[in-house]
Amino acid sequence: MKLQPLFALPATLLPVVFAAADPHAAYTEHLDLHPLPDGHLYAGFNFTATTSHAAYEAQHFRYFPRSLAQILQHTRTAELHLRFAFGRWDDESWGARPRGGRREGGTGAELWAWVDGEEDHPEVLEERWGGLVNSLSGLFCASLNFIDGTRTTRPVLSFEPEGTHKHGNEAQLLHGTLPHEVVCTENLTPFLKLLPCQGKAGISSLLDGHKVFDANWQTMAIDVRPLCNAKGEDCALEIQQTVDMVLDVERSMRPSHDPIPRPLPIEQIECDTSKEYHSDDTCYPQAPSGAPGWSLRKVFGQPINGNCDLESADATPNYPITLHVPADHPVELLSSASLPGKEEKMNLGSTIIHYPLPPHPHTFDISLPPHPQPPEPRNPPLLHATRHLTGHGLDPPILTTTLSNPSLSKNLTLTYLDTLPWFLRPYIHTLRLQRLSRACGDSAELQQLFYTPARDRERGSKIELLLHLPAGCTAQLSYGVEKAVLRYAEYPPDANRGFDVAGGIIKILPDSLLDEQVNNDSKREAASYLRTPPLLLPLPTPDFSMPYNVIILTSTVLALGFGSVFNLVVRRFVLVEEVPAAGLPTRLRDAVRALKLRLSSLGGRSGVEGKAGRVAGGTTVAG
Amino acid sequence: MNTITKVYADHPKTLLFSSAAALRILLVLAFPALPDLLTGRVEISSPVSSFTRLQEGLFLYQRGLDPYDGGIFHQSPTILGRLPTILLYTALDILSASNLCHIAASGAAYASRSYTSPRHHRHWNPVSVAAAYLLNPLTLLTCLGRPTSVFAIFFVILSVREACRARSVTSAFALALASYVSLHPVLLLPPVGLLCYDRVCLPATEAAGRGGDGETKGKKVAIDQRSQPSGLGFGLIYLATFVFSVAFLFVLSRLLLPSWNFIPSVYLTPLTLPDLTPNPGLWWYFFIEMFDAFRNFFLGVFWLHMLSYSVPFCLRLQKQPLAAVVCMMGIIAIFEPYANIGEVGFWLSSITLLSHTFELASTHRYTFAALAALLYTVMLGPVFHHLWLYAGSGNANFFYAITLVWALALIILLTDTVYSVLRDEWESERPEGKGKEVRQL
Repeated sequence: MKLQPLFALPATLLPVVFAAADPHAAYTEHLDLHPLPDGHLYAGFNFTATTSHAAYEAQHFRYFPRSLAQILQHTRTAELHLRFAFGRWDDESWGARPRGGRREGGTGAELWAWVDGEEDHPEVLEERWGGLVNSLSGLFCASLNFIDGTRTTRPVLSFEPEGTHKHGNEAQLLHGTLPHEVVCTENLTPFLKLLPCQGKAGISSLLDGHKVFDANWQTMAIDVRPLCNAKGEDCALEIQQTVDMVLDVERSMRPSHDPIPRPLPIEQIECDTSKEYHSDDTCYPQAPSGAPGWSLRKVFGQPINGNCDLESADATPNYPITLHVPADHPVELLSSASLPGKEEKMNLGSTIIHYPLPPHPHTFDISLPPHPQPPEPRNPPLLHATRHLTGHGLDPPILTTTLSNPSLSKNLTLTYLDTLPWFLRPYIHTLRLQRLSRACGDSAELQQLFYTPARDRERGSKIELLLHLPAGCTAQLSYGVEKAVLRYAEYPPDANRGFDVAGGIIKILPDSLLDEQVNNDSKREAASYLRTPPLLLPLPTPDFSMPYNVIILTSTVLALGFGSVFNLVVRRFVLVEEVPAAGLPTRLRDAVRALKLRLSSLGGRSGVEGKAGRVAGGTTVAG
Repeated sequence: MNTITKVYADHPKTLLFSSAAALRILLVLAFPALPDLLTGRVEISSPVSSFTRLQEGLFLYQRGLDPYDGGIFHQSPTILGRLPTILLYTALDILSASNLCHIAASGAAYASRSYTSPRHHRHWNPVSVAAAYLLNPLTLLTCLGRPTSVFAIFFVILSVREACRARSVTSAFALALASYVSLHPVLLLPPVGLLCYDRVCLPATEAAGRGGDGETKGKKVAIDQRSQPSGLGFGLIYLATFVFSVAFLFVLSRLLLPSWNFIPSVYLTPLTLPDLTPNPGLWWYFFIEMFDAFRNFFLGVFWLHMLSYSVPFCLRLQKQPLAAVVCMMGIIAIFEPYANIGEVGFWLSSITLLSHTFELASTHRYTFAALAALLYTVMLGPVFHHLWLYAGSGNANFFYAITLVWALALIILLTDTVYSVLRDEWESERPEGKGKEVRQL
C-alpha cells in the first residue's frame, strides 16, 4: 500500500519532464460573450491544447487528452471532427453564425474524419472507421456506433482538411451523421473530462448541464488536426474543444429553487396601450424591448471559479474573456481581485472588452444592468437556406431547398451536400434549380454534381452539388424522392413519429479560392458553413400487431389456390350416376363387408376352423 | 354510319386497331397529366417496371454511371436505348393484339394433334379476342402508365404466336427476350415448348388423319412415329435455343454496361424482394410482416409454389397445350412478387382464347361471383390505398385486405378456367356426359 505513491511519483513527473522538452505543449481557453437581440445571449467557449507529434507518438501527453489520443492512434485517424448539436440558429434576428459555421454540426451527432487507408483496400478503411465510431461512442456516451455503412458517406467537395497532412500519406475522408441523437448531459461530462481543468476552474466552470442543455441553440465540437510548418516538419497535434450556445437570458435567470415559469401578477405586466381593446381589466402584454440585465452568476448559475492558468506565472498576461457590448451599455465588474478589462472601441458604436481572470481562489463575475436599447445583431449572414419536403396526396414528394443570397454585391459559389437514408430514394433526373428572383439571371446554375445512389439496406445516397448564386438571387433546388416501405422490424419503437433526415450541409467557398493567384495555403481564407434544419420524414407504416394474422391469411389464400388447382389437375371426372353411393349406411355396410373379408382371408386353416365353429355354434343354439 | 358498318364488315381488324390507337392517343392529348398520374400508381408501376425508375436509370446511364449500382433501377439493360414514348407503347399494344388475333385464328386453342374440342364451333372471332385485349380497361391504363412489363407481355405473346406457327427457334428466342426483360416468363418455358412441339407434329398427324376415312380427326389414330420429331430431341433443341438466346442477350448487355452488376440487380430483385412497395399481389405485406429468421424460408416456399404449377399443367393439359400456357400465365399474374394490373389485364384478355369453354365455366362454376369481386376490388383498391397513405384514416390492413380479395377472385377465375378446359376434354371422350353433373374422384 505504501509503495503506491512511490510508483505514482515518477509517473506524474514524467509528463512534466517531457513537457519541458516539448515546445508545442500549450493550452489556451477563451470565452466570447455577445448579447443578441430579443433578450438572448451568445456564449462561445473554446479550449485549445497542442502537443508535439513526437510526444504524441511516444504517448506522452500533458494537455492533450490521453483517452482520445489513444483512440486516434489505434484507428490511424489523422484528423477528426465531432459535433453534437441541437436547436436552431435564428439567423434572421441574430445575424451570421459564430466561427463561420465551421464549429457547428447538424442536429444530433455528426462525425467526419480523415483516416489512413488506401482506396484499394476499403475493408481496412471500414475496419478503422468502425473502430473509431465504436470507441468514440464509448468515450462520449453517444450512439455513434450506429454510424454504420448506411450512414457513412464519402463527400468530395464539402469538406477540406483543416490541418496539414504529409504527402504520400493519403488519408481518406469519411462522414457520418446521426440526426436522431438526443444530445444531453451524459455527452457534456466526458467532454469536460478531456479538459486539463475538467470544469473545476477557468471558464469551463460555467459549463453546467442544466444551463447548457436549456439553451435555444447549442453545439459542442471537438476538432483534432495536425499542424506542420511549411516544410512539413516540426509537426504538432492540436485539439480544439468548442461549446457555442445561445441562451434565453430571461429563462436562464429563473431561480433554481423555483424553475417553473409562472404568470406575473397583472401589476408587473407592461401593457400595450395602443390596442383598441386595452382597458382597466384587459391587458395585451407588450413585447419585451431593450436588453435585459444579466450577470454570469445569474445566467450560468455560478461565477467563473478562478483561472485555469497551467503555465508558470511569467507568461504574458492573457485575457480569456471577451465581451461585445454597445458602447453606451455600462458593465460592472463584480470580483474584487480581478483587474479591469481592456477596452477596444469598434466602429458602429460597439465596444469589445477583454478581461483577465483572477488566480484560483478568487471568482470572476460581470454584470450588465438592463438597458432600453437592444443590442445590435451580429454581421448579416452570407446566405439564408431552408429545406422542406413538399408533396402530399397524389403529388409525388419533393425535397426542396430554398437558397437566398441577401447580399447586394457579393456573388456566392457554394457546395451543397445532402446525405439521405436508403429508404428515401432520390430521383436525380428530376433535379432542378429554379430561379425565383430576377436577380439570378442566367448565371445561377449547377456546375458540378456528384451522386452516389442508395443501395437497399447497405448504403445511403449522397448528392453533392457545386452551384453559383449571384447577388440578390433566391433559387430553389428541388428533386423528387420516393419513400420506401420497410420491414416491420426496421421501424423504430415510435414508428409514427417519423424518421429524422440529416440537414443539408452548405459550404460557402471564400472568394480567394476562386481566384487562382491567391490560392496558396498560407493566405487561404476559410470557407464558411451552414446547415439546414433536419427533416422529419413520415413513412407509411404497416400494422405492427398483425404478423401472425398476415402470415395466416396470405398462406390461406395461397393454399386455396394451390389446393383448388391441384384438386382439379390430379383427380378425374366421373358422372354422378357412376359414383359409388357414399351415404352413411352404405359406408358402414362396406366397412363390415371389408372386415368380414379380411377375417375370412386370415389363412386357409383358420378360415376352415372359423367356418366349423360357426356351424358348431349354430347347432348349439338349435340344440 | 353506313360506311362504318361497311368498314366493320370488310376490315374489322383495321377499324379496331385504328380506333384503339386513336383512343390511347386522344386520352393522352385530352388529359396531358394522365400518364404521369398513372405512372405513380402502385397498381400499375412496380419497382421492377416503373417508368419513373426507367427515366432515372436512363439518366444515370447517359451520364456514364452504372445504373445498377443502386437500389432504384432493376430493369433490363436493352431498354436503356432511349426513353420509350407513348406511341411506342401504343404500337406494342396493337402488335400484341394482332399476335393474339393470329393465335386465335390458328385454332391452337381448340384443336391439337390428338384432340379437337367438341365445342370448337363456339370459339370467338379472332377480332373479338383482339378487342378484348385492346379495349380492356386494365390494358388501357397500363399502356398509359408505361411500365416496362408491357415489353415482357409483348414478347410472351410473340413467343406463343411463333409457337402456334411451329417456329421453334423464333418462339424460344422471343421467350428468352421476355425472360430477359422480366424474370418470370421463364416459367412459361415448358408449356410454350409443348405447344410448339404439338404444332410441329400437327401437319404429320393431319396427313395421317386425311389418309384414313376422314372421320378420325380428333380421335386417336395410328401415327407413324418415325414421321414425327422425337419429343426429347425437340425439347433439348428448344431449351438450347432458349439458353443460347439468353446468354447472347447477357453478353450484349455486358457490352453496353461497365459491369455484370445488372444480373443480380435485375434478376435477384424479384427473388429476394428487397423493395416492399405495396402492389396488388400477395408478397409485399407478407414479407413486411415476416419475422427475419423465416424470411428466406418463405421466399423459397413462395417461389417453389410458383414453380410447382408449370410441369403439372403440361402433363395434365398435354392435349391442349395452349390452355396450359394460358393457365400458367394466370399463375404468374396472380402469384408473381411484383404483381401489377397490366399482367392481370393481359391474362384476363388471353382467357378469351379459350372462349369455346366459356359455356362450361359460366354454367357450372362461380364466374359471376369472381367477376363481381374483381369489380369490387377495382373500385375499393385505390380508395383504400388513399385512405392508408394520404388520408391517414385507414391503416395498411385496408389495402392488404383488398389485395387478398383480388387474389381470391383471380384464383376462382383460374380454377374455373382449369375446370372448363378439363371438362371439355373429358366430354370429348364421354359425349354422353355433356350437361350432366359430374364428380371428381
